[in-house]
Amino acid sequence: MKKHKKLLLVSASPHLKTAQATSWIMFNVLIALLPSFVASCYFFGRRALFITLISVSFSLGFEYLSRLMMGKLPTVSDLSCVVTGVIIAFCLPVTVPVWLVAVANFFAIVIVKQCFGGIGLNIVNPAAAALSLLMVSFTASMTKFIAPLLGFAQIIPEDATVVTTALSQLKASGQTPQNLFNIFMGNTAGNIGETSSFLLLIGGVYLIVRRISNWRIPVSFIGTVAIISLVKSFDFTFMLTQLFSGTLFLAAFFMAVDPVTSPQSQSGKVVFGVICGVATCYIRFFGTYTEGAVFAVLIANLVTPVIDSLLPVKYKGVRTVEKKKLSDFLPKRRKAQ
Amino acid sequence: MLLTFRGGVDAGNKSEFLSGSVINTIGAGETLVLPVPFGCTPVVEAGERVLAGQVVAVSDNEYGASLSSAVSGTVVKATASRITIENDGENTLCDRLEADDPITLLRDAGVTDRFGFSAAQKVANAPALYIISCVEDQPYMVNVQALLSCRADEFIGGIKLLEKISENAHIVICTTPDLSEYASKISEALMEDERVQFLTVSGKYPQSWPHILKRTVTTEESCEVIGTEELCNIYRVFKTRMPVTEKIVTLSGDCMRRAEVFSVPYGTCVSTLIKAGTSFKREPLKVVKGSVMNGDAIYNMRSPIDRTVSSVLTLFDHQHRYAGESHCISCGRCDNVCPEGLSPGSIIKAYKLNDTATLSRLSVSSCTLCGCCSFICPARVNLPLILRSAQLMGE
Repeated sequence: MKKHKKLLLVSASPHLKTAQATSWIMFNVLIALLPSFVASCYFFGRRALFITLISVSFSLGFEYLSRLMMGKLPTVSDLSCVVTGVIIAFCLPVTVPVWLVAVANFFAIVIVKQCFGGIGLNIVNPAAAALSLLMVSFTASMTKFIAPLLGFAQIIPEDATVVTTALSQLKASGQTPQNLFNIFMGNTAGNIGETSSFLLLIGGVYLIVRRISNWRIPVSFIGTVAIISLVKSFDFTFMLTQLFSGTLFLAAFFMAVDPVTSPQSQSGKVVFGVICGVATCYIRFFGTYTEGAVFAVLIANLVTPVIDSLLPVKYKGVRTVEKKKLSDFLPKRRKAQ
Repeated sequence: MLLTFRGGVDAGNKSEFLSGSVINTIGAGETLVLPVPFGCTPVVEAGERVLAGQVVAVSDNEYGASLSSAVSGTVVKATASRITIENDGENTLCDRLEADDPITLLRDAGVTDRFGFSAAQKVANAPALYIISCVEDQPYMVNVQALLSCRADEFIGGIKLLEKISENAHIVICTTPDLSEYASKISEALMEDERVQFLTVSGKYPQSWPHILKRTVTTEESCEVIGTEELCNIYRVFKTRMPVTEKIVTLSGDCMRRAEVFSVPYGTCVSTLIKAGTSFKREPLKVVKGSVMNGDAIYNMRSPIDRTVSSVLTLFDHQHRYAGESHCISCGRCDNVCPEGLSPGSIIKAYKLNDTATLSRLSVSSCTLCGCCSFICPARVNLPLILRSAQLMGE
């Protein structure tokens, strides 16, 4: 009689893994981006929703197809491409043509990420690289900002005028905005998801509190921009406009903290943040472009290997929270009779 | 107050030993396969007749302990790695151990902890402090709970015996918060004893490892960690004067409705133990001999249980499968959980570059292969495997 023998599965220990996989991390990043997403739909109406969704579909499609063509296992389920898609959409003006969204996602997913081997092997942040490409190549489409529409069902009117952002006003005429609170809350002209620094801050703090991202990079990044702006102008309104306007918060809390492209050691992370901050200020104050945060992240990503070799991770050694000496165990008279 | 250490993971998903459960005994099967412990040499030959309790392998050094047969019968095969004994079913006992000296008695009886280190040597070291480890830090394992609820009298007897053997030593009993119920029963019994203290330590993995427990509890160099089962065995040996031939094993896992605890003769195969389980709900996909965090997944159900096997787990859940591994995303979680303060992520990068200088700078030899890094890794990288290779490269 032929006996059926069932084979057992064999693998190396541990046989239990945490539920907090890459997809869990990326899901939490998406949760952190959710407040800004809802706000962007309110500020820029239906088209903001449309652009974000189309950007995510493009990134999902390119990720799936490129893995398929390379004959590798699909990695769509780790949600990292969804995060890239959302960040790309958040850094585009609401008037952007759909083909440009496709170009951005193609460049980010296929060229920057998958050509280098997929998640964990890309040398620069895919979203930062794609947005830099768009800013350099399609400057006109990328700077066509409109005033906020204020309403979830709003569509962009035919006669919508192109307005300038607070940052470009500041750069062109040195004129600080009237209402800084509006800029902080997001009621201002700008890209889809970047206008509300307040909600991005909430998302970023959420990630730091959940220990998904490290506080050192955003704090040193934003801190450096704040210090340099203050030293340049000795004007608090100027400094706050530099902080709350533009892509700074999105870049600091969601692009620069990408662990793959930032240094490993804690001191390296601080240096990385400072480099991001200095590069942002350099581009904003001396460059042609009004916004430099995304370029800055890209530059710092390329410097990361150098930082990693100069400030490597060290062996921390063993330390415990509290210990007792032998004398603590010596006989003591107990209080109870 | 909760004492803890830096690093470690909370693996969660702890099984409970239901009150009213007992430690079941499994009879020895027809054939017993005794793996010869590391550093031991067999002293029996094929064809020789052995009695139950007779020493079949002796240790070459003082850290190991001798191994005794659980049954009487004939030695079928004796190689340097394993001894096969055919059970004659008569269970003829050998002579009782005569030694008066406690250290010789423990050595002859083969009392060890779950890592195979001799209890006799620990006592012979005459430490200033004994740390009794009543720590349960892994999912599914309920050995300590079972022993404390079913064999509390042996445990207390063991403590008193230790006090008698080592006159100047102090004893500290470490329990985890979820074992407080059992600990309070024991502390009532030892209320009058001034040399015994109770401490609560965290239930994080790998809290139960002796070097971690020592590090957590005390700065004192002269201390020895004694496990719960080891302590009960010390008491038994002094009482019955027979060698230790049984091991307390938890049979658990997500294929079972509850954890069951068995007292298994050394050399029983895994399939016998699994057949004795009563609360299965489905066929296991994977059988692990040892704990979830660092046990071995076995492919052969005839694999024998020796004194280092504390549990046999039957697993089904997809989480246990070795799948979904991606490239390291450099998140740094492994650095945060390493109890030895290593940076597994950086070690792996250096290993891939064949950079032995960096490997030694990162102190790769300190790795204890506990598996915390692999547990926490979101990219599902199997780190201990690579870390072991890195250690070999560094040597």
